[in-house]
Amino acid sequence: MEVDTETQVMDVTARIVTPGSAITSDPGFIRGHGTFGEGPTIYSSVAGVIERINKLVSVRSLKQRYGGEIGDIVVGRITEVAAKRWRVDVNSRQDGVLLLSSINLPGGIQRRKSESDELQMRTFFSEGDLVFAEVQSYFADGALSLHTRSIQYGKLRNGTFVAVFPQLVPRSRTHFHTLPCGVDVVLGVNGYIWISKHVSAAKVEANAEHIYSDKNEPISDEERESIARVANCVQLLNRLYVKITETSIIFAYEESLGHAPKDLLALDVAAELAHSVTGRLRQQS
Amino acid sequence: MAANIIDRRRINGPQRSVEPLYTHVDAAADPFASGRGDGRALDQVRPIFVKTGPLSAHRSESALSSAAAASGAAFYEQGKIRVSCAVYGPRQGRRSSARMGSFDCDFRYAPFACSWKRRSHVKGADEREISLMLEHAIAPAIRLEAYPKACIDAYVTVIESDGKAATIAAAINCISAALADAGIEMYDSVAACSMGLTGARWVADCAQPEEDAASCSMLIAYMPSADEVTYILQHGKTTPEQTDQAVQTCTNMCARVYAVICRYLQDSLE
Repeated sequence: MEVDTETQVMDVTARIVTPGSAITSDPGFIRGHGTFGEGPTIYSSVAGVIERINKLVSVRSLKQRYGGEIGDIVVGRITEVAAKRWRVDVNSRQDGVLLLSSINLPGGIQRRKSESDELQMRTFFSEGDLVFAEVQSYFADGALSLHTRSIQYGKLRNGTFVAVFPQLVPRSRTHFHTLPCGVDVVLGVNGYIWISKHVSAAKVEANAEHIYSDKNEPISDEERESIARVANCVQLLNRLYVKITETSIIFAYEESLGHAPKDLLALDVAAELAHSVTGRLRQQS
Repeated sequence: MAANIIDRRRINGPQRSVEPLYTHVDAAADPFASGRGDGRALDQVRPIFVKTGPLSAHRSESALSSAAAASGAAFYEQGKIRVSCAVYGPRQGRRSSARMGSFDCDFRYAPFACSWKRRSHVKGADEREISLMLEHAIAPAIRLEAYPKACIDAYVTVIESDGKAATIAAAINCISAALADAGIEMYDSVAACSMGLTGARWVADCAQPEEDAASCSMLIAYMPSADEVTYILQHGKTTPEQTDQAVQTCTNMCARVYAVICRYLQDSLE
């Protein structure tokens, strides 16, 4: 397709390209994500918007899979129990890996994992379980290695799961929030979100023996309703393509209080909420 | 000895070879002397309609999680042909190599896709063959080395077909749009176009009756910005000059189809 001349090169921002379109032939630029080079020319490899930071040119597509970074907080689902490791679906290009050596033992006992631990791996995590983990490192092929070596990480229970676009969850200082409505939310950077009944940190520490329990605690009807409401609010924000943060969830929650949780995703109610939520977010920013 | 044991070291073809019998073509007869049935020019493709995203996460009301919905999807119409495609991935593959990702394609006709007969819901040999053709046509465009261990799956359903070669070309165009919608890294979008030889003339994008009358059909999948042909398929007999001419015309038409798809993708991102 067309190749930019030197004069147009500075205008690479805010342009939409499709796969295979030439972005620039100026050798001064460095190619970033979503591009590939052939000779001095940089071509786009995805359909999206060109972004330029100094000399780095990249193309950001509207939808993309999660690409992990070390230190990311993620929510994942165990897909397979393998030798000394679990495979975890983290909404990425390939499954993440949680090594047996990078989990905490019940009761916070510190010791090397023995062969008997290896034999009872399913008592810690079995297929289908949801985990709250942090990205520890990469493997050579780009697979993520996770760890749960903190009291706040580990198995998730007492709640519900929502998947959203990963690019809507920004990286921030904390990803574990307790909302004023008494609901805990884990915002995984990979777009997996866990919404659960609030359990105080003191209680979690007191129950360190039972961190791998599969049993839910008793959840009252009011708590169930708040969880359902927050879950639908997150779905709504996802549909609006709005950043999902503690603030935006609280706004959506407050705006939604006039409706029953089950009605929130009905088209007319959703449209009305969309208007008020985006309005408030704009006001705030 | 049992007669069904095959000696794999020998060529097990028939003893005698026979030149295929071509149907007699009367080059003088020209059914298109007074134009085509639908008033198109001989090198004109039927009108195209593309839409991305009908099956993907944020559009589907029923999907509870985006994990269950497709990563990218497209719906493509070309005249009466209607094709839909859903792309899943890149996701962890079952049988994937460590270095490169894999691209798999599943091509199906809907039971009601062909007007002259009802198709079985069991996958036929022709559907398997077309699935492979689509894989070969699309895979060179995808940057598979960017997706180690991952697999990308495309599921294509033909809702209505009108001309076999044209339907395959439509499927290729539809997959390209769906891959772009899924945000998968590609060297270029693949555009495809088909032609049929009737008498001594090449006729672009044949509908079923035109294809039935044609003595030869040609399908080309082409990456216009890279200027590379990814797939070429010819059925029937032509002279080298005719093939040459067909490749030229076909790639030109592919470039035009490509422009339509790119234009749509750009507009949809605005």
